[in-house]
Amino acid sequence: MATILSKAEKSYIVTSLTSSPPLRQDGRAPHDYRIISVITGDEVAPLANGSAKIRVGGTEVVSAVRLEVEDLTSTDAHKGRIRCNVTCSPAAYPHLNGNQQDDIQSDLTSILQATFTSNDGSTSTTPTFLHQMSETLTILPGRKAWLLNLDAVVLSDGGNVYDVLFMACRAALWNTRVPKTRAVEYRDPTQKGVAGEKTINNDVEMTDLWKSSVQTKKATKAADFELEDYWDHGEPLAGRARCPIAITLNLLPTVHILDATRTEEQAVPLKLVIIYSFSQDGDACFAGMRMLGPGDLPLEYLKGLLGEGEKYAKNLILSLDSQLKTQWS
Amino acid sequence: MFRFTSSTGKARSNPVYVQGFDNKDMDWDAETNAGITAPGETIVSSLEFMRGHGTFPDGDEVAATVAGTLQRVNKLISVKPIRSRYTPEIGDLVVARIVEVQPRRWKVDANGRQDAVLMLSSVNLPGGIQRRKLESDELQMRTFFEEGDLLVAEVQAFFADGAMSLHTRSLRYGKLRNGQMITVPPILIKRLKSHFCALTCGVDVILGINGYIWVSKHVKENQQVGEEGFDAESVYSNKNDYIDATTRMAIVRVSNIIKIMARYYYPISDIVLNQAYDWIVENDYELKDLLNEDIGEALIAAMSTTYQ
Repeated sequence: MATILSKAEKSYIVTSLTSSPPLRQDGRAPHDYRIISVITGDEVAPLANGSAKIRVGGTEVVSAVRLEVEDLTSTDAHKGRIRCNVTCSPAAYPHLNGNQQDDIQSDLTSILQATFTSNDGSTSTTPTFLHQMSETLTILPGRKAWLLNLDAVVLSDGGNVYDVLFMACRAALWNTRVPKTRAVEYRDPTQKGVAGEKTINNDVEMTDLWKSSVQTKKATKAADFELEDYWDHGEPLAGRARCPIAITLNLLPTVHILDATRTEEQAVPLKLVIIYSFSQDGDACFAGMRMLGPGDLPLEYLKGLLGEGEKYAKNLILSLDSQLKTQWS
Repeated sequence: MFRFTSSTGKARSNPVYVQGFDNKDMDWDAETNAGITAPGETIVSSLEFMRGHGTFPDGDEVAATVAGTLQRVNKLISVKPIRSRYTPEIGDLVVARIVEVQPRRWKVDANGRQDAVLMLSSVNLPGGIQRRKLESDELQMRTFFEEGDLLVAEVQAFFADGAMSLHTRSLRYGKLRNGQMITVPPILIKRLKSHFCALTCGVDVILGINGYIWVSKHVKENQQVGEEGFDAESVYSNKNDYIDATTRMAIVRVSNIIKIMARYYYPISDIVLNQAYDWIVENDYELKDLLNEDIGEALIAAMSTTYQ
């Protein structure tokens, strides 16, 4: 609801947080999250290739992955792409008019798109998430690839929407199965096969062909592909463990809180969204940062916060992944 | 730091509040129906009873249009919906929030279908209650109440369009500070002798009939802002008093109890809150534990067995 807090309420929240021991409106410690509810897979969106619904307190985000076949032109290079889109349900922000809702949507979309597609100019030695992922998404190198549509819907916003959005996207990508494909070649039935065997069908499976032909020919020869098995029996995305996660710190001069509720966000409006991605070995890679709300921040303070944020993000990813593993049998 | 659940976050079992309804002359059985009507469910014969709100004629029968509890006044049958906005009645005590400042009036959100109105003429002004309203008062309305301010008031009258008009012309009414607000479905608030409750744990609770509940630090009777030497400074102050850590924790505990009760649709009154508070202290639960679904469920179970 579009409630503005009274001055007394705001000061009550801030004083509680800065007193010792710090106390929040619902009794959590400053760095505690509300209980996170995770649902993945067919229960959420049966027609999607991967989907998840995350609910943290009053904030609820549904995210779904849909794969689409795309013809690659020469400029696209040999990569599968990822396209993000965030929609906000009008019920999430009933007090805002259409334009303001669009603003929020494009804000969330842009941070998601920017984080997930930050591939070029990467200075890190390990391959980025997109780089690893696009290998799974390739169907015919240079010709066809899966276009990964990552759609998220913010059903309700009870505070901390950035963290929940990234968690939902991570869970949906984790849940995604990319269908296995097999390259197929068309040949003139009158001609002899490359390997000298007589072809019966128009199609010859490339796998058989490779055994006897030269490897380099495969890209040029393969004309189309077919699905190896059922749609939902695919392989998981490569590098899904590297999928980035966001941590929002709501900042007060001396303390910061995690997972602020809507009311707390109003009383403590300055927030720092830090996005990290982690390699399989647990090495952190800084993937993005945004500072939102009024106010400024001493530089020295920021350095400490980045370290803290890394710690929180690591813990969050560890517990989220173990939760996802238990759900995905 | 992070706790997970695979449930949807809604209450797992949902014992719904049954407002004491038993009536022998009706064929509708509160026991078998869990006391709740379903939309379209026939309740009584329309030959014997009159239809009230929330019902429609279904042939010779009266049927419910909403899910709710039955209410009967003599031959008039009505269904009070479980989930609805607050329906105001004159004399109700409400907790409300200022939405807008308008000429000579404030628009107030009181969880009703329309915004309520608080007229400048229905508030106590500095310098005694029987003072005439001056033009200068109109110009400094924001010094009394501004947008976002919470207040406790009474429903005074209705306008032609059904909007309620509030008044704060009493010592006990006025601006709220030193605490936090919790919202619950209005049906859960029982009508009590007094809606200003001082709990035994040293916390004051104002149970607004509109479903807004104010939980705050206890103010002693003799320290309340008096009528004599009416002090605008303290009545319309935005500054909180000093509140010690114990009181803050008690406020959080009471708020969490109220949230649990709202989730399980358990009726809220000062007695129930005191009992629940004692139960928590007896079982030695921490503040954080109250967010746990299992403990919430245990609390409700204990409340419905031991204390009834």
